[in-house]
Amino acid sequence: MGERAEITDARKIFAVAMLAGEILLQSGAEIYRVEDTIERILRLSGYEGTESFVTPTCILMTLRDPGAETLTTIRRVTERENNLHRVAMTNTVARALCDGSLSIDAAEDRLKSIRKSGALPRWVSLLTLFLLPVCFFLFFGGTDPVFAGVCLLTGAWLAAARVLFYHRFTIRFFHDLLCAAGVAFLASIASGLLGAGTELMNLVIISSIMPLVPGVAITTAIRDVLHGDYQSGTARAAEAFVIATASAVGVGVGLFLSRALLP
Amino acid sequence: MELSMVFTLLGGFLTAAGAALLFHVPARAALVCGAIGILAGAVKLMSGAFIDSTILSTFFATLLVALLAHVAARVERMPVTVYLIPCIFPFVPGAGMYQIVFSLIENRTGDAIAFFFRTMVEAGAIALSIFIIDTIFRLGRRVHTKCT
Repeated sequence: MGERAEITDARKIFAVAMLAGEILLQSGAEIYRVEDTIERILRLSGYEGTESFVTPTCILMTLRDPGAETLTTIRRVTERENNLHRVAMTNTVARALCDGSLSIDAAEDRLKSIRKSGALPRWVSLLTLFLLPVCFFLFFGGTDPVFAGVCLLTGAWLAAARVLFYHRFTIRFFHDLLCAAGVAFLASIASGLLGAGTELMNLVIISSIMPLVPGVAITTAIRDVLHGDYQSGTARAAEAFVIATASAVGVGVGLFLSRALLP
Repeated sequence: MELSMVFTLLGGFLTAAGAALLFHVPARAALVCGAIGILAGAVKLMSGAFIDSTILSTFFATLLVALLAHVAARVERMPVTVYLIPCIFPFVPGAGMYQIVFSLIENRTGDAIAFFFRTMVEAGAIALSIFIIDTIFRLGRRVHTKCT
């Protein structure tokens, strides 16, 4: 570790560390990766104390040294979306910065451009949403071709709901609720008209809401808890239950509506 | 081999690759995720044939997923998350989370409790398998973790 950096340089390093941490947290990186990346970048300043504390909704970091001004900041993070490509690119930049092959200014520029780009075109995620229900239907052992077709219908609803509602509501709850309601409605009407049993209908519903339900969130919650990150573990578990509630209430509403329509 | 087994393997590829695309993973890495998905689906089928427990077969499948994700991450010089999250996506107990709340809505409290414990154990089994592999891979690289 070299000399302690001048205060202006330290401020720069501090800002870049926060930028990297923010991109990582907003893109759905693990808590320990965010904390670790921030601390590695902060250590470049040569200050004696570097701390970072990250929860799924907030980043806290501090840089202190005897004889220098202490820098501390807090950043609230409200929007989070899984974007693993951004995680990968930010990781590469941070690594290059730490082993000295990238200057701090270049790193800042790279991070800013990652934030603007780094997403696949929208039609890719829409097409994926459209096809995922059929894929899950097959994965869960469904073989009925007609109900595979119903899964295409529910997939089309998921893609349409993404376009119509995803950015319209301030919280994700209503988007998930509407998605699940439409899926359950379509599956129930289809099985009613085709005279199929509830088992096939449930298979269609579960396959179709797999892209919504918080399986990854609950698994990550337990990983965080096992890792000792109790705050983020409990926060993620709460998030998982909120999303699960949205989809379950949605399915309830959809089934209720379809039963009212069907004789 | 039955048709539904072929479908499960195909579904393993499609769901893992699809989840990868949904999480903005670039196409090349998404194909790797799909390949890991097939193998994990195969492990789930095979272990399911020997042991009558979804939890154990999920555990073994995600153990393989975590192992291959670490190998792929080393080979392609990407963070493990890029492969790990999409590939565990088909196995995570999302349906269980939904069933907990849905049985509560339908006033079936007993079912809700049963689903709750089942889901927690399943998520725990997946988390544990990821931890085991993480720990094994971490043993060998203590020296390189320092920044400067």
